[in-house]
Amino acid sequence: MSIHEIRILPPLAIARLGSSKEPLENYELVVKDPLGHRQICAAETLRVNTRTGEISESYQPEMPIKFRDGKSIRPVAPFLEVFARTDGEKLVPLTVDLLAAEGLNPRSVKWTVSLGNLKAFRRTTIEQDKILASTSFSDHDVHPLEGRCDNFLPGKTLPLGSARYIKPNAAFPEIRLRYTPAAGLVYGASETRITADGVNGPVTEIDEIVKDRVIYDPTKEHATWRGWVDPGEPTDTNPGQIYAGYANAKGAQVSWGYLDDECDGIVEAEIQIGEKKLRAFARIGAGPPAFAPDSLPIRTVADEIEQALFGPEVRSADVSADRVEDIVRRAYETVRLLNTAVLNGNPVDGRLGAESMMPLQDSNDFHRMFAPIMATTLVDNLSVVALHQTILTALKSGTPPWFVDVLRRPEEVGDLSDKGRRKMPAMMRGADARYMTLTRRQIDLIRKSVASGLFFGGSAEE
Amino acid sequence: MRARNERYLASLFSAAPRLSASPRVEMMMLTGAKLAPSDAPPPEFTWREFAVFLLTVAAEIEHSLMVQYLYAGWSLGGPQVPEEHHEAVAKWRQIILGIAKEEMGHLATVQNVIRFLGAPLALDREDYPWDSVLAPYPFALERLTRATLAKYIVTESPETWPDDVSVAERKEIEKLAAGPDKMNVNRVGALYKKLIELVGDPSKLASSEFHPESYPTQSSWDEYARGYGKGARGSSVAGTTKTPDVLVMRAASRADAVAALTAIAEQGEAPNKAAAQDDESSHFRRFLAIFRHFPKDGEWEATLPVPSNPVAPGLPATEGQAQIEDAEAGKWANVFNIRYRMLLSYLAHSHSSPGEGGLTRRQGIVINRMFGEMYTLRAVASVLSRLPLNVAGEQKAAAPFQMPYSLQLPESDAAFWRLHIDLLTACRALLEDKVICKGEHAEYAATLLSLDAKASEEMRLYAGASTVRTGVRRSKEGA
Repeated sequence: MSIHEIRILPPLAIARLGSSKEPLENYELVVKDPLGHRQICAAETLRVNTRTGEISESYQPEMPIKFRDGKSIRPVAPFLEVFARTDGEKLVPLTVDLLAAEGLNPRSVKWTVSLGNLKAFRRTTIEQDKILASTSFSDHDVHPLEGRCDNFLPGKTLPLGSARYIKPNAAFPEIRLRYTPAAGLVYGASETRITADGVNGPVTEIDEIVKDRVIYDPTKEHATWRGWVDPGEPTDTNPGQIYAGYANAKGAQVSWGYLDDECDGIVEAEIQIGEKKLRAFARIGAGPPAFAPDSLPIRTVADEIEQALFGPEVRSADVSADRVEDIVRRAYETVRLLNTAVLNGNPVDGRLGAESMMPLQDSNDFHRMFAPIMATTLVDNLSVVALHQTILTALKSGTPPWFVDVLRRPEEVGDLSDKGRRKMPAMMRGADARYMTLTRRQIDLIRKSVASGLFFGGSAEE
Repeated sequence: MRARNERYLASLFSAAPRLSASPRVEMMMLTGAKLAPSDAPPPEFTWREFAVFLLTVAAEIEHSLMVQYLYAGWSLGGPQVPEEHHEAVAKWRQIILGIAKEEMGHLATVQNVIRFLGAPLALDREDYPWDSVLAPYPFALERLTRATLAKYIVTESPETWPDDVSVAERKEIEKLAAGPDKMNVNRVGALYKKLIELVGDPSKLASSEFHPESYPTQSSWDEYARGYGKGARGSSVAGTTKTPDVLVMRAASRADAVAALTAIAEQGEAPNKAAAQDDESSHFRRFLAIFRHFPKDGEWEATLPVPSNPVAPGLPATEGQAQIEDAEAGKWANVFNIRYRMLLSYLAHSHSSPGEGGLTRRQGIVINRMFGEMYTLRAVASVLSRLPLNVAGEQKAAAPFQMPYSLQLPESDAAFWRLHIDLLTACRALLEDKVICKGEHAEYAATLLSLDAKASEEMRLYAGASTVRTGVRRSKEGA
């Protein structure tokens, strides 16, 4: 049995920042109450011996799953496992035995992890603002990923977490790497920061947030991140001005030069079999912790990837009532977390537009008259949640979904008429600063399930 | 319409219709000429009362049409529809249900004008089948067929039919609409014509007869139409862009009231030549478009085998009705009737005056409950359509839409909540019945029970507290 190809699974892993020494244990989301949100259920977890780098045991965590140790959040530290395609089409875990069969040993696997945080560069477009970290190894030590940047102070780096090649043993002979993300800290460019443009000049204060973590040198020739103002050009992020800072006298957002320790990049594995070099890669990213871990958003990266992979239309054979119910459940899970009255733009204790929400952005970006989205009486949260639960209930009857026409189409995100703003999903912003939509593929799924419900399971293409 | 009201209708005609076997024929002859000239209100009426009476009749007709269209729309589909016609049937269903939504808008608008005249809501109607000299044809819950479509077309037809309808086609439609009894089908416009004339005439209805202060308790488009304006929500299945167009108009002045009545009178008929050519604009055109492609007898079946005028188990069905005999379907029919009553009660509650409890604050909660009931009715209708009507098993059960014994409404906010709780409790007993909880749709029943339990808990708070702050925080202290 020879190895023809290797792969890393999962091909995309998302780590979540956290400063606890203990990584978050595994859990699954299970629907127990048909009208409720998902429940967190413990799932098999691998314990890594921090000294040896081996897996010491596989265990079932105790419930409830612990998300914090004191003030420290437990990071999500994903495993990336190498699989091999041998003689058949099937992928099998790459193990010590499989390597041995090729005359190799665990040391024959070379890992390379390359990460970057390009948030400052994305705005300034100055090469010297790129923060990059890379490391290669075949041993089982912890390899810190230190982000380096031309505009950093001498000797300073941005910690982007660490990678460790898990040492295979008899009980766990598989080849895997674990990425542990950074702590979730904020780094800066100065021990002081300006809070406002006062009449006698800038108002300055000691920056308690970053004072021990100043790494960026704003005095360098090409260092513009501290004091950066989005120029209002098409290359700005959309929405723009979304960095920490203060509003200057002209109302423009001025950057404090903050940097976070989020990042993304590539993990590569490589083995040499005779003349043949086999390589595989996976993508990893480190993002903020999940603060509503028992809910799924209505539109996720998984939905985006599915659409990119399979296109905007769902095959009829893939249409199922369960998938439609899942979308509705996610809508319910989301709406229960929203302050619908505020997000609708209702006056709160006599204040209009007190918080950031879509009606305010419609006014700010397009000078639309400020007005709530829905009738102000309709957005009582308990009542909106109950309405979503009623939809979940009705779908259980086998009735085809009737709400496909209330869904906002992707080409309607900028429709600021009353009618346009009231479509679903409501009150939320999409990635392009305007109203959120489902993906075309999600919409198509709901549309096609109408036919399948109407003809009792027989859809047009089946 | 309640039979006792029929006697008042004589005043609409220049001569009283004869009490013949077919008053409808009489009415056609008379309205075809013109409505009675009127310098004085009919006997036993003031002009205001008469306007309220006519609006009550209009509400009853809109209510009946809406329910009929829902029934016809829900009848479409089923496993017997050949695959190549799936798309067309889905489209027809959406068009018919879109028209039903527009009728809901008509009903809401008529209620608004009734409120504007300071009169109580008119939500009552007769059970099916029923007839009246003012009805376009005897009302009945029927599955969609070429004959029922023909009736709908004639009812909603403009005075002059558009050029693209050939003489032969019109003849065929009118013949089908008339049926074997050669019944005359009335146009609905005549009643509104009379109403518009009356409401618009200051010599009959002084401005002091109007109640603009009722405006906050009238249904608003913002709250009721859910964005269904000029097809703004589009229609992905039906492929239409201008419909449904749900008109929910409020009245704060005479001009508003006249405009509202005019708009709903025109929505059915194609009001002008351009509209008469447009397959999307009027009910007339939309029904006609379906009629032209609807399968003729024996070609293929577009609808489920549902009966006409199904009724829940009880006293033997009367003529023209079909009793639901299957035990499980019978219980679900009872559930349907209770949920229908709940919908009407929420609708009434949402219109009740603010009172000390400050209903305006809670109005949205009631309206959302009402929309929730629409979803539930749709779901229960779907359950019924999968269960047999009786042991023969050939026909399926369907939504009975039977009216409650009374629509006399509670006087206080708390009493409304107690009514809602009572109805939920009555429904719970049915859903817990072993025929249902061990039946085919047990999972749905269990979920509905759980949903209702949450609703009852919330409503007990409202019923027990004279003032409950919503949207901010709630506590159980008031319970």
